[in-house]
Amino acid sequence: MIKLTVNGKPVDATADPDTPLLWVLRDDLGLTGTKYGCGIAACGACTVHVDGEAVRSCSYPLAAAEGSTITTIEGLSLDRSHPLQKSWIDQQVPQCGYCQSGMIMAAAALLKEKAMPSDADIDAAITNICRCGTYQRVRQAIHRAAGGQG
Amino acid sequence: MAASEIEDVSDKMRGVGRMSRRSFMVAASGLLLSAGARVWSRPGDPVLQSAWLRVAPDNTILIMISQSEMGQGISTTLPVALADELGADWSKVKTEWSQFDPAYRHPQYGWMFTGNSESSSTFYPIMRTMGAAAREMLVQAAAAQLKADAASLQVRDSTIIDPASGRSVSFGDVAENAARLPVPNSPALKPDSDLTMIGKPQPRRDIPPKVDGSAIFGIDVKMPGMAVAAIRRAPAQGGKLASYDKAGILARPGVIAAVEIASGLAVVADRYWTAKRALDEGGLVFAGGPLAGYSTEGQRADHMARLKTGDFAVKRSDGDAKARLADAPRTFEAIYEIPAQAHATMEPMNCTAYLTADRCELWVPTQGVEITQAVIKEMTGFSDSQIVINRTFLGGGFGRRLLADFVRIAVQLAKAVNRPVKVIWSREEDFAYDAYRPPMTHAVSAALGADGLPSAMMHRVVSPSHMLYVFPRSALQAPPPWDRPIAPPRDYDAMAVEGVHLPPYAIADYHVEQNYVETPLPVSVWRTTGHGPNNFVLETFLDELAHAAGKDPLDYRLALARNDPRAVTVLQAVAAMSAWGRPVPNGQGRGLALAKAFGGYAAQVVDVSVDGKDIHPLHVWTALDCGKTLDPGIAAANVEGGVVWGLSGLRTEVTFKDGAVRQTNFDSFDPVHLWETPKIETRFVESDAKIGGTGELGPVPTHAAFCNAVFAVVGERIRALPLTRHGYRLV
Repeated sequence: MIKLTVNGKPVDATADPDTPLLWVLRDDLGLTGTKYGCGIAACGACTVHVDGEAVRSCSYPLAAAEGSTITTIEGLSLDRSHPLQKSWIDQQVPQCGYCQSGMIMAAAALLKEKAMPSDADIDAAITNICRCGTYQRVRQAIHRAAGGQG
Repeated sequence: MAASEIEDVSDKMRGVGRMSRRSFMVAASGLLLSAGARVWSRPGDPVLQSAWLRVAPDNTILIMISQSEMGQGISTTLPVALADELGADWSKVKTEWSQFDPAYRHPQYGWMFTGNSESSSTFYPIMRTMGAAAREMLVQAAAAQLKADAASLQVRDSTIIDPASGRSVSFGDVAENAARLPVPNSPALKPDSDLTMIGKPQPRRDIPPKVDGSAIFGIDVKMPGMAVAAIRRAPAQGGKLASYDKAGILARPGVIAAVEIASGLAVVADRYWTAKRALDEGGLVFAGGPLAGYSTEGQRADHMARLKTGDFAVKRSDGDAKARLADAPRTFEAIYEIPAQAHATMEPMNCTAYLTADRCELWVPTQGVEITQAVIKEMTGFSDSQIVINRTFLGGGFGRRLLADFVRIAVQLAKAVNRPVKVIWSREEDFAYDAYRPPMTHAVSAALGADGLPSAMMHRVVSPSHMLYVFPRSALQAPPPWDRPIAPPRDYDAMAVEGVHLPPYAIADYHVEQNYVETPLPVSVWRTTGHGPNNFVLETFLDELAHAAGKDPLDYRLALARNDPRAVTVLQAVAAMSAWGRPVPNGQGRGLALAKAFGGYAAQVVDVSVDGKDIHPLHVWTALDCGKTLDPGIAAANVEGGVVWGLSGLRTEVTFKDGAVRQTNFDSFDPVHLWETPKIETRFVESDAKIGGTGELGPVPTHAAFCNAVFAVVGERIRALPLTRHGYRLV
């Protein structure tokens, strides 16, 4: 049994320690907002925060998360009140929406590190893949959430 | 499947498409009402209900969504149109995905699906008509209740008001009486000036749940007692599972069943990871199949040989292009190569099925509701009433989810384990078992007249059909299995030549022909269908001709499109947006392309910078005419995303070795990222033309505009994609 904290709640995970955190979140904890996209940490759809850092949970074994504090998209706010969620709605960012949980979690980690990120900061931090091509609005929404004009 | 397994029904079905189109045009208005507005309310049931709308006495209003939501915003655009026409209070209207029903069929094809950028153009008039019919019935019932003249009543916010008396009733108050009235034959639509939502950007209903993880995609479905399955199949499609460690797999904790499926094995378990690990360690050995020996290199050589010696079927011939080209003192010729592409939706294929003795229920992200219904019927022997297809959000469609191959596997597993099963394809399975955009090869030649414009042009297209899996099965009356590839009637199948078949240009001697490739590779439609590849050919070739004639590419196109005012308008609009003609810095260049596709027009300018072999897109301007723009916000998002799709297609491809795809994940199939995305500006110029589609039009001119910009900098023509064929990288 592996102990961790997920969205503020203590969790005893019973899955095999080599199970990727993604599948523990989805299949054992029912937190399906975090998505499976590639399984090789290439697309970012599975991005969550582990102790405040953006991590691609499809390639992060449960064992490595022992004792950690995990935040998923469901834990970012209780009521879509995080500045990124508000600006995501204002800018009408999502299309199919499948990659957007990971996109928002990557952006949230960036804003924790840099309150007013430049375009170059966003370029470097947001490496998630979106096949619908929402990138221009993602960039604008991050700037708006940070209080910039974008 | 082998080429011989592709059933060609062209002889027996010749002309089906034309016939159904003609009969639809005759029957249009009657059909709309008989199919859609027939009242479903039962005697004693105090609601006004049709296939599209339900008004209950408590004033709840429900609008059904027949079209699948895959990011294009249709789950907002179409219900808004009905609500606006009806005069409903949109903020209180609920929406719900419809089930399969003949009422939701595309009236021309007689088939229920979401694709080909046709949802708005097809269903917008139906939404308006349905809203108007219901409003007329509600107003008539209100007039009786208020003892007022129906013509004097006003409707707004789900309320019917009598201005003379000041009294009002809600829709709910009169729903029961309205349901007893006959459905009007030709309800009058509101004048556009009375519409309050159509034509203005509306917040999408599906966006709030997409920012907090609560939106349910197919992969997220949870059922009590549900098992999860992973699958693994032969690396080359159609191969066989030779052997596996069945006992070892079944002995693993959490494994419920191991089920042999076509070309491979499914493991059903309590969790996805349990199933996946059982496959990893299950000793699976595969044998080759019908694709053994198939390679991209072989395909390219085959296409080149077909250009020399293949049989070509004429798709259009004006004048005598062959003779004009033979006589011309100087001709221009080029050969273009377009690669196979994977759809690579962000959500891999998946489906959840639950089968009992007399019922099959599905939870599935699908564009192809009717093919899904047909496959379930074939597999279970059930009637329509025993089948329930619950649609989820689609994590991308792009044409891939028109097919039902993932449905077939889920139903097979549900049969085997007697409980709900969700099957999830790995990303590797998703790449290996796609039905790809077919590779195409295209030879084009032209002669110039005295004015420098092309006087004769000939296109010779080597391509499979794009429609093997998506041509409506209802029209083909073919026996099951319903999801195998079927060649549609050849005189109907214009997808491989669309874009060059009916260009916006006036060229007197014009010839288009196609060599049909019966490929063993499963191929199907991919966002932009034939328009994307063919526009790349036509618009880069025109750029060559303009350059040879010493003409500006904009002036050249304006002259050649002079008889097509919609083309001229978007060209002029994009020229103004991009300040066409202004000088550009060293190392930068700009390119232009025009597309007439999916019922609309798009002119696009792309600016690039080139550093050695690295090309960076800087800025993209697009001007579009899609008739009336139903929602300018949602439509602009479709175009912005479409431009990224077009740019990605310059870099991605799938290639094959011994029948197996080489690109099996996002490490080797590399779409454009945020940091590579240019600034994108979009403008709609409206017209009175029939509504066109915005989902696929935006990316159509992107390949050509980009490659014309590259030429402007380096003087080299890109004629084979992806860019790496010429040694370039998009960065």
